[in-house]
Amino acid sequence: MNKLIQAFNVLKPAKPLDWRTFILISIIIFLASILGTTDQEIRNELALLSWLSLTVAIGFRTSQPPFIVGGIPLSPWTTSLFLCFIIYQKTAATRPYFALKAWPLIAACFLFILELIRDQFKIQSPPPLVRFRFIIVWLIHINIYCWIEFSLKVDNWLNNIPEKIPKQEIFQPDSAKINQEFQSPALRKSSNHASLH
Amino acid sequence: MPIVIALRVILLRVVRLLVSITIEAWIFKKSFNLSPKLSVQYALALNLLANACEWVLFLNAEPFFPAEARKELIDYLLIEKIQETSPSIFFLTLFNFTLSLLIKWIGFEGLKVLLSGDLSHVNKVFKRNSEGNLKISEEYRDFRIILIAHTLSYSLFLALAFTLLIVE
Repeated sequence: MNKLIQAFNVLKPAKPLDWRTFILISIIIFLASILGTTDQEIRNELALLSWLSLTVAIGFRTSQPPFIVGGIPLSPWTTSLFLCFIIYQKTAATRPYFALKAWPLIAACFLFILELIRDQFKIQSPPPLVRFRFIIVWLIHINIYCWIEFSLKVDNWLNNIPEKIPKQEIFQPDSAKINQEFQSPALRKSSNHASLH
Repeated sequence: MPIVIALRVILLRVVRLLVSITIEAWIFKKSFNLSPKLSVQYALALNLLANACEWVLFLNAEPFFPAEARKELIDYLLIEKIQETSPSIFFLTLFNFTLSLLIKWIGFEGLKVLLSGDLSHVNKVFKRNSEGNLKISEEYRDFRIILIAHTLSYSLFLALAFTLLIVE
């Protein structure tokens, strides 16, 4: 019994705006979604709310000391990762890679918000968009986004144009390559979808 | 396999970024009399900007190309089978060079205006009045220095890429 109480004491929030508060909210909403209702839709919505609350909790936790690497808190990346899980769950059927591509961009937005919070929501001179450090971090995120996009495109090309896979296949006889011309974009898309399902 | 090919290209890009940042920061420091930190920051921001614009442009333009040109473009982007040297590779390289040069120049002027925080300066940079050749040549000094820095770093990258191809 004592151990149980100790375990609950770990989760007792020290102040109102603490990560433990949001963890508790998340757990309670999750329990409510399991026990409180039988309607499948309401259950899904409640689970989504619980996940959002967990996202906020993780965001608060990772902006505190053990998760600060070199003076930079890890919270923008973790928060955007958890948000991307939601996005993935919503868009997995239509655009499976959208969440992955959105991750660096959302992280960059969170960095901007973090910079504003650090300024206490007042536009100081120079404003955050114009600070060199911020511009560089932002550009790095856009570059990472471009690289993810590029890797996905390469994957797409190699699936649709097998002759681009280098070296081994170049030495095959011509008859092996006859049907590997470019397909029309519409055909390509439909074959993509076929391979996805 | 595709992830290995993509990673190879990305790694080559990162090496290119490092090389060109080093060279350009050194030239900026010498010619603009900037502090070392500021010159590295300028070079970093400009190179990242040019790289991002290049990727966005090429990746978005790719589906609109006709089939043959698309093959060439994919070859060019993957740095694959370049030994079949063709004029299109040459023109793509030239286009790439000019594009990133212009982006760097515009980015440099924009950064200078933004960081000085003095927006009335915009007119001075982009609208030039005819005040004689001397004045114009003075104002194009930025462009000339960026041209030199960009040419050096780009040719070094090209030499690097060709060495890799030959070694391969």
